Amino acid sequence: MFDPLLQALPVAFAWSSILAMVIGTLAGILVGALPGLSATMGIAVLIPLTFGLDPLVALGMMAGIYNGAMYGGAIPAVLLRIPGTPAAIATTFDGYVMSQQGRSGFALKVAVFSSAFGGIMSAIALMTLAPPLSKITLAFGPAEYFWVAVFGLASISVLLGRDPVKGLIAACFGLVLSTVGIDQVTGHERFTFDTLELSSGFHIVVLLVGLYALPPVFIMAEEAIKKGISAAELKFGGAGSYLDILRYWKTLIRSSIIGIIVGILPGAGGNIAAFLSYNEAKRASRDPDSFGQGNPEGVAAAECGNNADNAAAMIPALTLGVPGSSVSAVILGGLLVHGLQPGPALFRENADVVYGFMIQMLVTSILLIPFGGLLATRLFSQVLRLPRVMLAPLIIGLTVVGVYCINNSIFDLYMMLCFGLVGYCMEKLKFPLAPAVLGLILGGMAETNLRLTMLISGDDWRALVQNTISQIIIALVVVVLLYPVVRTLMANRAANQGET
Amino acid sequence: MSFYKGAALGIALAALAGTAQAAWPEDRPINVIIAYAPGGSTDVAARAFLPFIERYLEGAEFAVINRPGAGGEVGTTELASAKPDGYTIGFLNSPSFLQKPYERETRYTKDSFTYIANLVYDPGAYAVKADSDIQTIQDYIDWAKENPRRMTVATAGVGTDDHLTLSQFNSLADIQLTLVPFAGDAPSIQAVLGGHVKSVGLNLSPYMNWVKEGQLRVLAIASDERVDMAPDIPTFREQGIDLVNGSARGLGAPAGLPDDIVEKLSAAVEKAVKDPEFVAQSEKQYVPLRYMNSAEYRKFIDQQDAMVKQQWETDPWKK
Repeated sequence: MFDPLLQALPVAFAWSSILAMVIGTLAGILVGALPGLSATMGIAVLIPLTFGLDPLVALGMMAGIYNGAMYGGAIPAVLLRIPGTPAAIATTFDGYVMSQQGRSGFALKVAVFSSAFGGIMSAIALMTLAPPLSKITLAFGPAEYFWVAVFGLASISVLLGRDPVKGLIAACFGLVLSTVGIDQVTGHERFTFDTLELSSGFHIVVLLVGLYALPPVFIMAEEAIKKGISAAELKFGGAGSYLDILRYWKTLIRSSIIGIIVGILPGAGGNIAAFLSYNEAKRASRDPDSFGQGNPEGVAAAECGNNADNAAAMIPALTLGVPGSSVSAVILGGLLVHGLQPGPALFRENADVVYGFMIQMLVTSILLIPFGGLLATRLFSQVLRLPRVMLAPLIIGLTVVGVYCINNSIFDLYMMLCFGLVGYCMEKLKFPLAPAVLGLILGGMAETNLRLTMLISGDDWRALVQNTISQIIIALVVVVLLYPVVRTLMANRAANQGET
Repeated sequence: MSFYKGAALGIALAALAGTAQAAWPEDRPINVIIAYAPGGSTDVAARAFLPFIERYLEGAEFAVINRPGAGGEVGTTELASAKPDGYTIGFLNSPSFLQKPYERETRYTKDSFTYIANLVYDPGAYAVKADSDIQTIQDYIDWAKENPRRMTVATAGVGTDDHLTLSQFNSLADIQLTLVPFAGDAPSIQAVLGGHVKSVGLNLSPYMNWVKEGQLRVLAIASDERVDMAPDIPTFREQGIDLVNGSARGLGAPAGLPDDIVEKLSAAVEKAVKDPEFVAQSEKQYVPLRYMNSAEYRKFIDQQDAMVKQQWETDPWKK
């Protein structure tokens, strides 16, 4: 197993490959840090430029962008509460609170280190376990995917916060949005009002940018009007060494495993990995209430989870041609351009390229620490020095460019603005935003897979529960749903015993 | 303005216009609309092909514009409504774009386009997992007859050419297959390899990797004759079922593109399709090339449209 890896070492460390990885990582951090621009888009733009290049140079850049962007998304998430990529939503929960407490430096340090850790673990999984792990992908059919989506929806309950009713309303809003567009199972249009642009449904990034990036801008503008122009004070302190982060080793390892599993499953991307990691870290913590109040462990869980998704998502892509996430789908396209067909034959006939790419995924994860930690973080944190009146239009400009680039569509911009207003109202009325985004991501996944299961089984409901994997996931759903009840009961009992 | 000045200006303008006409493509990029997202199969194939046209069309420089949405309808509409000046062309996936006008009121018809050249024709094909008991298409039909509606077929979606092939197969063999629409080729193949559905009904090329690996068995292809890339696989026709259907991908432009530009483009496409480097690359990626010139392509589109129309009238894919 390690022979091909060793043979690929010299090509992966050729100067051209190293240069490609460095450029890719820097570009990735930049792309990730700009709301609306995503790794998918960065790589898609890159593909045509790489025709003439050696495959490993092209792949090195893609690996860099992939890993870089997953971390880059955390920078605005921590500094401005604007997730740079969908996967960075969970990072805002504690990261931004830490920023407000004047600990943004430490929050970003935690994010860099956790991202690198998750990425490294994921790359190791890719190198050592790719062929056997691809069997897991095959074992998941529509019934299993349905339960994965239900598990995700159930875990929203952990995110609901202090006011569950508002959280549920937000989740339902997301679920309703997920029904818009052409229905995959019947081909009928739903809630499209004869609008061509609505027939593909809402793009997740449009909703994300609208809900997360615009309301802070509106609030900045509002404050500027009320209070006039004031330079924001730079609170970038909150040191803490990398050794401090190692205290969260349990969370890091747990989040890596969650990220890797989610990565192997097609259809569930880094955003789900980050949410699940965050939820599990919160559940396992001795002090779950500190999550959301600026607990660095929350940042560690989210960032580690979303980077652990990366290389793992390439496992089904390389071995089966089934991409585990939208980014890996685009990388797959890049491989095809270079005449590399995914499948077992790839590992036999182009071993140096495949294993070279795996090494690049590992190296670019490590590169995050110097480039992300030392360079990008310092550079981007200067954003905090900008007066808010200048920052607000800058963010608007960047988000408009980013969202327009998704489909080259003006319609998407209008939708983003609408969601921005909705997000602003939700913010003012103290509705949580995350359940809405999760509702959109998971609603369609749950619905389509449920109906495919029924179609395959000829409307036999038993098909939903007869596989072992389904049963395991159902058990996990039950645990997640009962956990808060059990915890309350235990707490009550403990309190009662204390009294008597 | 004096008469002479005016006349001189007029002559100069006419000369300019003349050179502009003759010099297509002049010094600006030709936009190529791709109605699918970047990184998808249409996009990747298009981006791999365009440099070869550039090689044989002097002065041409292509700029790819992805306009995904509504199963390709957004981009196709944009192509139809562009100016026919040779600076906007696009890829057309048939019969997919021909089906849309039957389903809903579209802002284009098949006559909204100039058909430049066809590049790819990928016939429909039925496959099962290699360890299945079903060895031939006859076994398949027998099983489907004994178990009405229990034969599940993974396809790339409702209203795709896979769906048309399945409907025709149903009526020709008098069986009732159950269409299971997945979100594309890869998830469909994953579903059959994982044993979640009994068979898969896509086009031939996405199977090829798995056929070579010995994991999928293709029972029959819906082509008029056997294809070069898999000469061992029999056609439906050989086995007594007159099923011929597949998806094609060609180059189109808005209707009214001047003939000289059509000829230039079509000739460049023909040379590009025969370029040994491109042929080798396509074979490696299992892309079945089938060049048709402008007239042949137009005729082919009319045939496909007639087939789609008949299907819509007898057994519509959306009810």
